[in-house]
Amino acid sequence: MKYDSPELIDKLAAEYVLGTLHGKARTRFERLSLSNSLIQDRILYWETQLFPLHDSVKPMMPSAQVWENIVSRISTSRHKAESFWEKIGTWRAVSFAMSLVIILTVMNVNLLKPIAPLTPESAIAQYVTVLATKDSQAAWIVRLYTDSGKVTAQALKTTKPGLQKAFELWMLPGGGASPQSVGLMPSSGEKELVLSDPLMKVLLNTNALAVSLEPAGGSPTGLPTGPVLYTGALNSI
Amino acid sequence: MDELESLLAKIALRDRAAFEKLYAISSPNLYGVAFKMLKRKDWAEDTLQEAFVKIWYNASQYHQQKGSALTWMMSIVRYRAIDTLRSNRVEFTSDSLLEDLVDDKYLSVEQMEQDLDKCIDELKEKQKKSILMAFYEGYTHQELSKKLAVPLGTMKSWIRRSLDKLKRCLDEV
Repeated sequence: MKYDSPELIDKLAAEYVLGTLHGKARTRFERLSLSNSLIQDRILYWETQLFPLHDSVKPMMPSAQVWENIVSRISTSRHKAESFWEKIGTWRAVSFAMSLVIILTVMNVNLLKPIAPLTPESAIAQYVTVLATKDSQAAWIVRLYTDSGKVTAQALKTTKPGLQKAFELWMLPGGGASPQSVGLMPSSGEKELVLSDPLMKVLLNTNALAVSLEPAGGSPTGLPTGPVLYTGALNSI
Repeated sequence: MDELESLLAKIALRDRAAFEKLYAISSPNLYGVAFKMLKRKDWAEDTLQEAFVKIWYNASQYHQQKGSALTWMMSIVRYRAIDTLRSNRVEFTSDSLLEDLVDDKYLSVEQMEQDLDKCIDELKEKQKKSILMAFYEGYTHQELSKKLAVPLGTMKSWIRRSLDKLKRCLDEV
């Protein structure tokens, strides 16, 4: 069957969402939808139109075992190391790099030339982290200076976000509060950012940073909209 | 941004507390839908479990262009339930169930959104029943044609024409 007619795609999308598209045709349509934005668009149209029918379905409580199973599934799989909240596995991988940075910073040895002349005291970052992918590819060192609110992001290598995209840095406060944007990350070299007073308060309750891929100019919503690619635990010095 | 969307954004950052909250808020509705389609506690719970594991790992792929957060989560539950039905439905063709299904409960969809309600109401009675049975119970053309005792070709064209009509009506309102 050809899928190049918008009308046919619309009909198939309608029956896919309704559920009457079945067998191989359903599987094929589902597979094609992954790479075809017109199919995705038509599926979304029909979902938006028909799903309100679900509103009349009576809510029911699943047994407590379901949640326990979910927790165990997301805790024991190979993805475990991705969890912020179970840091041990994740951070062991980057701990060597981090220790080195911490030692150098405590010793007031700057890994890069300072942006502005700094007094010996303010030259010491109070927080430092290495932002790395889940397979421990380190991309930036971020230092936060609580006395001045200054944040420096130093690229360890050139990391390009791609056309019309940007890397955005987030603070992840504990207690289930929303991530807070700090600013956009440099592809190479070093960039200085400044924390506003409200962000300085958030920092006190923050134990990790993350970088997500966003549209050029940063997230339009104020919350991460793209995939989170780099993370780092915040270590006070 | 609604509450579910902001929870998904946090879950994308692996926030367990946000995930627990999302589950607490949305699992009764999602489970209700899975149970209505599958009619078996074990299948419905399995579907819900798989859906939430997927939501945890794929939360970063959700963005608003994909519709509301609820639509996105509902689609995960719904399509998984349909897959489960299709691989198990053979057990489901007893006559008692048939009698149970072909009653008028599908004709009252009180809480439905008004526009959709109005457009569904414009369909002829049997066509309306076919659409609602397909939607809520996940029946194929073949199963619907048996249950409503009409030829397969007739059922296919009922469904197709009903969807066309719904679309015209929904695009107008």
